[in-house]
Amino acid sequence: MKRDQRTIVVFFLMLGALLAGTCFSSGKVFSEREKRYLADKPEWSFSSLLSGAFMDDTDAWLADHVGGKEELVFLKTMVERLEGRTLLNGVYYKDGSYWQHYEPDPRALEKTLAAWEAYAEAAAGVTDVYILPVPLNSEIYPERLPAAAAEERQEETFAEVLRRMEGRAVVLDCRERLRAEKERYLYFRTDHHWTMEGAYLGAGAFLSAVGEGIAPREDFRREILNEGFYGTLYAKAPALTAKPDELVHMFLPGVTCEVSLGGPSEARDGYLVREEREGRDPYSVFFGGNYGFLTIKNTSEGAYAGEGRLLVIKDSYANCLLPFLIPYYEEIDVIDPRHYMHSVAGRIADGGYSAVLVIQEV
Amino acid sequence: MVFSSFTFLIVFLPAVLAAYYAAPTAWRNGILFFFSLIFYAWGEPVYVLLMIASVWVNYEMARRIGRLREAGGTGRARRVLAADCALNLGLLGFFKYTGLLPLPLGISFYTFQVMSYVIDVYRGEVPVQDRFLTLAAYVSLFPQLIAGPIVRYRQVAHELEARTETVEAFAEGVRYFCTGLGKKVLLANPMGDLYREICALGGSQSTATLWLGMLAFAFQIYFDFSGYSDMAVGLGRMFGFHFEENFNYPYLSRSITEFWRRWHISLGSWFRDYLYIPLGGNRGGAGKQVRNILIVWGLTGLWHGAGWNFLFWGLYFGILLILEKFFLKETLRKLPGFGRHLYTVFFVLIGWVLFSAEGLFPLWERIKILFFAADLPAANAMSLHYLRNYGFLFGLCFLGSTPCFRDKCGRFYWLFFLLSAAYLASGAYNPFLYFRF
Repeated sequence: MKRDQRTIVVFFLMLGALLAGTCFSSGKVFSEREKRYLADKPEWSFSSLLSGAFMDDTDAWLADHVGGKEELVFLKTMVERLEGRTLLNGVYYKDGSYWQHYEPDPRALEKTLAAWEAYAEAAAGVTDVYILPVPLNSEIYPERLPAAAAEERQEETFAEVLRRMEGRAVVLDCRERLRAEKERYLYFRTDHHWTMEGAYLGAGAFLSAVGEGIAPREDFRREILNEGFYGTLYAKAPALTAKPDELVHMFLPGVTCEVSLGGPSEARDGYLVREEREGRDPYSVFFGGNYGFLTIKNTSEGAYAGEGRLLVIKDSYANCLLPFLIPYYEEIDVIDPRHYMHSVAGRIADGGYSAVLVIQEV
Repeated sequence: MVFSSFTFLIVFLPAVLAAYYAAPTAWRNGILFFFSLIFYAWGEPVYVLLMIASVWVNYEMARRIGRLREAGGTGRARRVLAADCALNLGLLGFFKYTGLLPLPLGISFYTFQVMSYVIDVYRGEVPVQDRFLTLAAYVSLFPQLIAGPIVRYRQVAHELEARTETVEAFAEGVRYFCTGLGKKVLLANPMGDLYREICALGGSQSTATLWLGMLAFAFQIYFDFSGYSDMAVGLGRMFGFHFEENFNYPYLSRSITEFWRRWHISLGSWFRDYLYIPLGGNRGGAGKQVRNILIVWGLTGLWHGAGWNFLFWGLYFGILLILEKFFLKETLRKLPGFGRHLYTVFFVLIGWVLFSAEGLFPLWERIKILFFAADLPAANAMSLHYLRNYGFLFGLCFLGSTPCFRDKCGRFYWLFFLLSAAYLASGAYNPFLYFRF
């Protein structure tokens, strides 16, 4: 075939492949990789044509359902890495590990601090508030970032948190504890969460502050829930040489609990949702994900029976930290303010909690 | 509709090509017109009527002018022409500069195109187009309707009536199109991302970083616009049209005069033939020439946008051109080629600073930073960060601004297409800078 004819054929083959792939995935409604619902099929009506909404919806639908989308996105990331890009989609990558790029967001910080101040106010005279801001992995391992990384650190943010919450709550800055045990597997390489080893140190900081103190490491048994997975940071910017993560479960034998979501749903035995181990997001093996409200009832006996009630206000970092707290309390109520419909401050003021622990990323 | 979208690539383009080649030759202009209407209406479901009305009015006026010329009434023909120009420019001016209604897509392009037709009919350069459909196909032709190049009627008058679609031309079109798509999606878009990111830096800004940012903008606008023009030329080829290129490696220029013969060529030649020369051009003495240059360049600036910065940008180049014409000829001749090139690149970059400014105050702030007059460091960690992350891309852009790959690029059309699809699938930032014109 002559060169020109070949060019035309290849061109149409490429167009055809994209078109065919799109038709093939036209039924998809939810994307597991992107963790979101895909655009709806556009609606045809006179008004939607006139306003241009139909066109925008069609463009969006096609962009969402284009054939081979995941492979194409992967290809783009590869090309960008070849170009020497170190920061892609908010994450740095070096030697098999991912590091989060910190972008200070004064507005978001202000919102968070305002919320915390409200909790402290509600708790005044009723109970004590402890705040555990969770640092990003790049904050603890700055030397592992690639050369010429953009320099933002969380130093100032932590200082601001300390300043604002002075006298209102006990701020637990666990960065030094984490830095002291750097050689351990404290954070996942391909996921933004900390591992149970890292959470152990965070829990230790809180338990010391309330006068308890966490059990020594050697007391815990370890179980590997997933031998090799690629987490959220990998999904943002895949790399062929990324080292997979291990999901290790640390536990004290003899600690048992019941987890209920409140309301008519059944209580679950234990906090692990083992079915999630091999799924797309193995980290959700802890409690099955994030819920607006759940209660952990300590059903252990003897030394692990615990007393008092704890209220935890959290984002997803707390999921693998909560298990460490179970033996010290009778009941732990857990609120994720992103999904909670009622007033958190109201709940605090209602009382009954010996402490309130806020675990959030700043 | 945008070329760099899946709607265009996998739905519209195959559909129009299939319909075009399945239909008998006599129907083909009609098919192009029909699909071009869909293409335009996709982005402007209401203003598409305005465009059709504009074509209709100009069609009738041109016929009138033709009849008057034939009957010997050149005076009356000229009055009709004047009315026609006033109408077209009035409409353009109303939408562009009063801001009372949102600006219709491509109005600057199609107005200038249709005016080229009417003026050429008056001048006797082209015969009147008696078939509305053919004229409408010309004005609305989707390859260049929204983003140029400004194709003059006389350039395609013959091909509108009789064109041959060949395998060679189509294949050439594929290569042009894919290369243009690559320029836009793989070079212009990331450079645009970088430019916006740098502009948003607050305290971590530095002089070196901002210069990088302006360089990024210079590359963004070049690859964006020339990419789109390449796609237009390529699409034209697929239908048997031969449009002329709109860019000729402008960043290689060794004088501002040369730059404007290589940048947005179709606009420059439109203004030259329909404004500069009728005004008298370089006849009538130096004073008149200066006046003509300033008028043309002020309007060239304003054509780009309804802002003071655009007017200043146009006049800025007008003044530089005057200086080159009257005072700098000797100096430039004495400089080595490299020196002339540097001089041109520097002033073009400063031009982009003017062009991209969002107001007089931000412009002044930006100039202070660029010339070490602000309270910011000469360079910092961010400068290194951007060099590290975008150095390779800058290298590609430098090379892409020269013809060293010109012959080889066509061979990689399939790679440009594939990578562009990959970047588009990632939902990358994708607007066309010259879009709202």
